[in-house]
Amino acid sequence: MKNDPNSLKILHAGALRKPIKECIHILWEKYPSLKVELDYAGSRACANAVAEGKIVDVIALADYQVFKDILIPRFVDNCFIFATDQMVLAFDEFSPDGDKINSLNWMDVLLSNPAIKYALSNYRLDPCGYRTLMLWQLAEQYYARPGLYRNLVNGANNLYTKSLDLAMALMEGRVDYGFEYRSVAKQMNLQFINFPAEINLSDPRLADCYARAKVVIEGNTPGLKTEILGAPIEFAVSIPKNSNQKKIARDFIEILTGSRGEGILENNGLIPC
Amino acid sequence: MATGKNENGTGISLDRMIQPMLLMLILKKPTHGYELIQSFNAVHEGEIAEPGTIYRNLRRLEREGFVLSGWEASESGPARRKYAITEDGIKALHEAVLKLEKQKQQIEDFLTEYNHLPKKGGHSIEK
Repeated sequence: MKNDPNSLKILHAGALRKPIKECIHILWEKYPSLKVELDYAGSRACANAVAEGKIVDVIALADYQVFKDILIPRFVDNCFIFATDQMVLAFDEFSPDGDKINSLNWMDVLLSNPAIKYALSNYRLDPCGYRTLMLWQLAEQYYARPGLYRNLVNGANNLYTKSLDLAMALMEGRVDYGFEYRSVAKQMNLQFINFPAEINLSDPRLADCYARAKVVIEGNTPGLKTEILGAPIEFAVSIPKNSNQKKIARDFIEILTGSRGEGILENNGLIPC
Repeated sequence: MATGKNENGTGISLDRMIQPMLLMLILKKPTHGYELIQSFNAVHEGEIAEPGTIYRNLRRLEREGFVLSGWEASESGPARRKYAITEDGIKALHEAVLKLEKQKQQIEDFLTEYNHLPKKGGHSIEK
């Protein structure tokens, strides 16, 4: 990201790339000559960058918990929940066994054929990655398949920095299946199978059930671990305290959370809330 | 922004009872979508309305002027969109209740008549 003090700097989760760009086009109706600098990464990587001094005007992440763990209250006062999503298993027309995989047999398809490559995004940097691990833990209980979580971890092909990179790898044939947000699968025109609500992290009514899943990652202080519990997926946005463009940043968030933004989010497979 | 009547004779949709249920819950206590989804399940056992369906209906109700929303920050958690019912919303809910009472009476009349049919009687067409 460049360092023009007059530009609006937006740092966001990769999964939000397309809707954020579309909202900027609406912002340009009010500020036609505004320069906008966009940067994206996995949400934890985004938050770590701000905590290490990166100056941005808007930060939009795929998990409210990342704000809470890393940014609130030192770098951000609070944040707004603006969208939800769910986990799916994405693939394309060239994925082996794509014609027979479904929400009941997906684990057998992935594990029984050594030629099939499946992947997730990096759980240390990206909520989509640790949400995948949570989904696998919940699946072990839901399908009553002892050892499923460990088998899926051991069989995974690769860790991608963010969910968007994983989707690109799928499109380019570097992996056959990827655990993704449904919004990303839709934006990339990938096929996907839906998981039951009990494991897809979509439903507030199942929050207690999701909280039985747990992922431990390196914390921001060296040597300290951070424990992340399963929860319904919620995307959140905020204006960091050191923003140089608070007025325009507020205008941007009003667009994102207003009626036109809601239409954009919906068209991109997210659920505005 | 009040609207006209639906085909069912009320201002709101009675399909799967989602909109009347949401209006009733918001009338009882203005709240946000996350909590409404949790309450919806408790009140309406057996009906699984997906979160996306509930959020979409909330936005529809707001577009129609039956609820209003604003951001509410909490001390312990993130800011969420909180919904409150409007005068038009209260009126639409009342109309929906009248319509449902009428439907309930029609269903009861039908069931009463059916239950009074002779057990093995009636006229059927033999094939």
